[in-house]
Amino acid sequence: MRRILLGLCALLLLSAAIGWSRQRANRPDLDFALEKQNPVTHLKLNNAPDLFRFAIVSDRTGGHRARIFSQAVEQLNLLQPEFVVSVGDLIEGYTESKEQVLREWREFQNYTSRLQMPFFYVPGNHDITNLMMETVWREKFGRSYYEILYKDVLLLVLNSEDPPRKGTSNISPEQLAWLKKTLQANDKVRWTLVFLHKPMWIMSDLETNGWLEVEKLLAGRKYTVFAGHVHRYQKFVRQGQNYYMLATTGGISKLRGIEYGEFDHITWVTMKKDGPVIANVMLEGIVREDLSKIYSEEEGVAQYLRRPTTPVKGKVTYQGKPLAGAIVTFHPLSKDPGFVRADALTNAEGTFQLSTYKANDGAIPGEFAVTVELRKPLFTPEGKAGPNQLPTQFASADKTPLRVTVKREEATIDLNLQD
Amino acid sequence: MKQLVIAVAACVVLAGAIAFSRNPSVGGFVVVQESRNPWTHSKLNTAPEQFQFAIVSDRTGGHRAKIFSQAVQRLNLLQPEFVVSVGDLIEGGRKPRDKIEAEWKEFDSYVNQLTMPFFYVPGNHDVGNDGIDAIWQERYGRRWYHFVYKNVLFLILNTDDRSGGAGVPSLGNEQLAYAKKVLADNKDVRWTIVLLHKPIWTAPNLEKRGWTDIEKALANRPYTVFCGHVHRYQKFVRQGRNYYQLATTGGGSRLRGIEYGEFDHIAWVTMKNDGPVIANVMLNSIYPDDLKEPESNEEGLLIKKLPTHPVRITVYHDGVPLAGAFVSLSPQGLLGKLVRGGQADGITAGDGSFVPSSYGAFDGVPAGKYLVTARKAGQTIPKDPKANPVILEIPEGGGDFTVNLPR
Repeated sequence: MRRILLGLCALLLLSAAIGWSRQRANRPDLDFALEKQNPVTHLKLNNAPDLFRFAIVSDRTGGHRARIFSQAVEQLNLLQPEFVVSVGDLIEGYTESKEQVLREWREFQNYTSRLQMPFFYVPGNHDITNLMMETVWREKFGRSYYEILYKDVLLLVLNSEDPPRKGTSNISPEQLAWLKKTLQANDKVRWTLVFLHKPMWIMSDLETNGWLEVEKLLAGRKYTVFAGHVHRYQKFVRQGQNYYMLATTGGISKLRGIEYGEFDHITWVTMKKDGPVIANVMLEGIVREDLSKIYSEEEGVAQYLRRPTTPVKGKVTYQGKPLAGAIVTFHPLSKDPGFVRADALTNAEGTFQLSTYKANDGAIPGEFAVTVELRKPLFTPEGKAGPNQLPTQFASADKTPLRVTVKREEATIDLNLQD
Repeated sequence: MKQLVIAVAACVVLAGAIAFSRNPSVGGFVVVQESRNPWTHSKLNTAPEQFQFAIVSDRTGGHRAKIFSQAVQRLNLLQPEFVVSVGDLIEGGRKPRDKIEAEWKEFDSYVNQLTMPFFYVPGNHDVGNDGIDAIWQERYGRRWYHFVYKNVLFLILNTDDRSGGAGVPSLGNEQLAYAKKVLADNKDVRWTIVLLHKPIWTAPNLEKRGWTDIEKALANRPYTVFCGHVHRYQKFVRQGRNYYQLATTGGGSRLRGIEYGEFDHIAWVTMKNDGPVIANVMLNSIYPDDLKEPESNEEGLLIKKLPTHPVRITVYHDGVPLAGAFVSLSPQGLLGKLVRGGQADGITAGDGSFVPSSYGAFDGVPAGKYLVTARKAGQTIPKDPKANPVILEIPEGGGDFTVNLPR
C-alpha cells in the first residue's frame, strides 16, 4: 500500500510538473479574440524561439570624428539589440606609447560600458598595431580570436593582425588550428557568422595571408562574413555566401552617402531559422523619443595638416558623349604629403563634384594629373575592381594626358576624352 | 527498494520535465569564460517577457508615392515581432464604394507583404463617414479592440466613433463601456499601450468626448499612448505618462525635419520589464544589404500645386526681431484651398527671419495675399488678428520682406 501510495505521489508530482511545464510553454503569449472579420492581417508573430537580433558597429579610426561612436552607443540602447559585435579598429593606436594606448582604451571602454547589452571586441590593425599593443590587448581582453555559440548559431571572431605587421594581414597557424578544431566541434550549427577586421579576400597577399585556408575550412556550411577596414560599404559573394565590408561608425570618411558606400551606420541583424536578415541603419536616422540631440563628450581626433580646398565640379565626355558612372581622380603633382588627392563618381549626366576630406569640399589648389576610369561593375563580386571600359592611358596617373590646375577660386573643369 | 526506484525514476522524469521547460531545444548562449575576456559582460539583452514591435503612422492627406510600401520592406529588414498603426491608412473620404474598396485593396497588398502581423487602427480617413465606416466593418470588423501580449495590454480606440457625432474626436458610450471593461478585466498587466488616431486630449471639452473617463480608468496603471493625425511629431506628458503624436509614414508632409517634427518614420518599441524603450527610425535611413532602395509601384496621390516663389520674411514684434516664433501665412481668397493645410509657415531664427514652406521643405509661397500671424510661448501675435490684420502681398518672383506685428 505504502509502495502504491508513494508511486501515486510520485506520479502526481510528475504529472503536475509536466502540466506546469506544458502550461508555461502553452500559455498563450498572445491573447486576441478572433472574430469573423479581424483588424489584423494574421497572427503569426515574428517571435520564433531561435530568432535573435543583434547589431554590428564598424570602424572608429583614421582620425575618428567627434561624438559619433559614443552617440551610436546611445542609439544602440534605443534600438535594443540582444548584443553588439564590432569589426575592429576601435581605438586609433599606431603608437609605441603604452600610456597613450591605455588612455585610448579607457576612453573607448567608457563608451562600451554604457551599452545595456554585451559588446564583443574584435581586433583591427589600429587596436593591435605592434607587439606592445598585442600585449595590451591580451592583458585587457585575453583572446584575440574566439567563438560564441548562441541558439545554434556559431559566431567566430578572427584576428586579421596575427601577428601584427606581417604582410597586409595575417592569420597565424595557431589561429587556423583553433578555427579547424572549433568548426569541427560545431559542424551541425544552423549558421556561422564570421567577424574580422580586414576583408582579407581583397588583400594583395590573399595567396599567403591564410584567408584561403579559412575559406577551405568554412566551405560546405552556411555562413556570412562581416569585415571593416576600408571605410566603404560593399557586399561580396564568395563560395556562394555573403561577405560584407561595412562603412564607418565614426571613422574617417568623406560621407558621400549611399552611392559611394560612405556613411556612419550600424548593421542590424535578425538571425532567423533560414539565415540572417540584414538592415543597414544610418546613425543620423535613429532619434530619441523626445527628438532631443544626443549629448557626448567624445572629442575625436583633431585634423591637422588639412589644407583649404576649393569647390571643383565638371563634366566628363568620351568621344563627345557624357560619361556616367566614371571614377574621376585628381592626383596632386606635388610630392608634399599635405597635398592629397580628390575624387568623384560622375552622375547620369556625366557631371561630378570633387571631394578631398569630406563630401563635395573640392580639391586643394595646385597642379593635378587626372585619371578617368569606367569600371563595370565598379567592383567584382570577388572584390577586385571591375574591368576598365576606357583606354588605359586615362587610368594611369603617369600616362594620362589630362593635366589641370586648380586655382583658389571655385572651378568648373570639363574633361573631354578622345581616343 | 522497488519503491525507492519508482520514486527516483519519478524524480528523474520530474527533473527532466523542469529542465526541458527551462531549456528550449534551440540551445542557449555558450562562451568560454577566462580570467580576461574580449567582451564587456555576457548578460544578453533578452528576457522571456521582452519583445519588439514597430508603429507606422499616417499615410493620407495626399500621400506620397512609394513611401508606405517601401516602409513595409524596411520593416521586413528590421524584423519586429508585429506592426501596429495609428490610423489614416487610406485616403478614403466620400467616394463611391468601388473606389474605397480599391484603396483598401492597394493598402492590403502592401501590409500583406509584411513578414509579421499588422494591426489596423481606424482614422478619420478610414472610417470618417457612414459609407466607409460600413466598409471597414465588412473588411476588418471591430473599430475598437484589444489584445494582450506577454502581459502587456494593447488597447485600440476609435476617435472617429460614429456614435459620438461626425467630425469631432470622441468616444461613444458603447466604446467607453468596452474600454473600461477591458481595463478592469486586465488590471494586473505590466503595461498598457493605447493606440488611437486623433490626439483627442488636445481638443476642448474632454469630458464630453469621453477622454476624461479613459484617463480616469488608466490612472492607476503604467501606460503609454500613441496617436497620429497631425503629421507632426510631438511628445506630451499627461498623468505623468508619455503620449506620442507620431509624424508620417508617407502622409502629406513638408518634411522639414526634426526641428519641425516633420519626417517619415517608424517608431521602434522594445517592451522591457520596466516599460517601453522607444527609438524613432527615419525611413530614409534603413537600407537593405545591397543598399538598393526597395522597389515600389505605389503611385501616391498627386496634389495640385501652384508655383511657389523663394521668399524670406523677417518678422518684428513692436519693432524688435521676433525670434523662435511659429509664423503662419494664411492665404486670402481662393488661394487658401491650394496651400497645404490652408497655410504656409515656418519658425523664425534669432534675427526674426524665416523661409516659409507651402508644399515641401522651404519651398516659398505662391504669389498672393497672406494674413501674417505668429505664436510664441502660447501667445498669438497680434492678439486679435481680425482687429489688426497684417497682410503681406507676395509678388511673382518672391523676394525679401519685412513685417511688423503689433501687440
